[in-house]
Amino acid sequence: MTPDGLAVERRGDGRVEAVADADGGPGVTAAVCFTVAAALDADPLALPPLADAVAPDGLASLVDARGADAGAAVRFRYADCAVSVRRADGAVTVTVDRSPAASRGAGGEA
Amino acid sequence: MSSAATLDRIDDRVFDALSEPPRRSAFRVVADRDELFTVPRLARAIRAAGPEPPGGEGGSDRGRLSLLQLRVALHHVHLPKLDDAGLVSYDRSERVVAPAYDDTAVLERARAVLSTDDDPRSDAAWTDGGGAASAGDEPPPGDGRSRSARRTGE
Repeated sequence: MTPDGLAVERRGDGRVEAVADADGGPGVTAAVCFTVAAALDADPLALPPLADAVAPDGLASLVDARGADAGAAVRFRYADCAVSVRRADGAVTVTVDRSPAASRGAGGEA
Repeated sequence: MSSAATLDRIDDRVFDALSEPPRRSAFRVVADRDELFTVPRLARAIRAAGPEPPGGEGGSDRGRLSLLQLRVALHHVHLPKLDDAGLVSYDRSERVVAPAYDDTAVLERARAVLSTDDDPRSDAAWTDGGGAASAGDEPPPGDGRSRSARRTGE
């Protein structure tokens, strides 16, 4: 369940990486939601709201600001995953790691 | 003086919460119909209520969120923001949206702000005064709201 303009790929190391088209692809927050959902094999609506974990406006502008700095990534934790977001040449790349260390936290899935 | 500061704080909350078109649409639909919505149903109701800017008409669906993206944006960004501002009540785990009633000052301000917006249909719903015969069966909730709405509308 991914929107147009977002290419999701499962990598060999267990991470999931998605690239959003610079033109017509989803925005930063949507790209994060869909990529985490793909990594967890979950419906994006079943995840807790991203806005409760990070400020969406702040995330988008921080990704843009760091992208100007040779594609440096913004990293945070969300839904028991390690999330990394960077912008390079306009395209946003989201990498999600749900390694056992990352996913074994308080709560977990019901 | 302190009441002016309070009004400023209310404006900060309301303007931030209503700064994006999907949030204005969501607030309008929920407050106007005064009923519960699941997220998918709210997304459909927003779409049915009319076009949202920015909707570049030219490139087919480009520039306009798909219904899937609208649902995800509502759940992850817009509804938590409206809930935090006191404009709707959002149950994050059940994913059900309800009208908010607690913070009347914020709700009044939001209605006044939106009544100056350029959507004539919603206008009729918020101004209970002159000629809003289409407002329907519900009686106007009180004069405080209409007075402040009218003043802001000038």
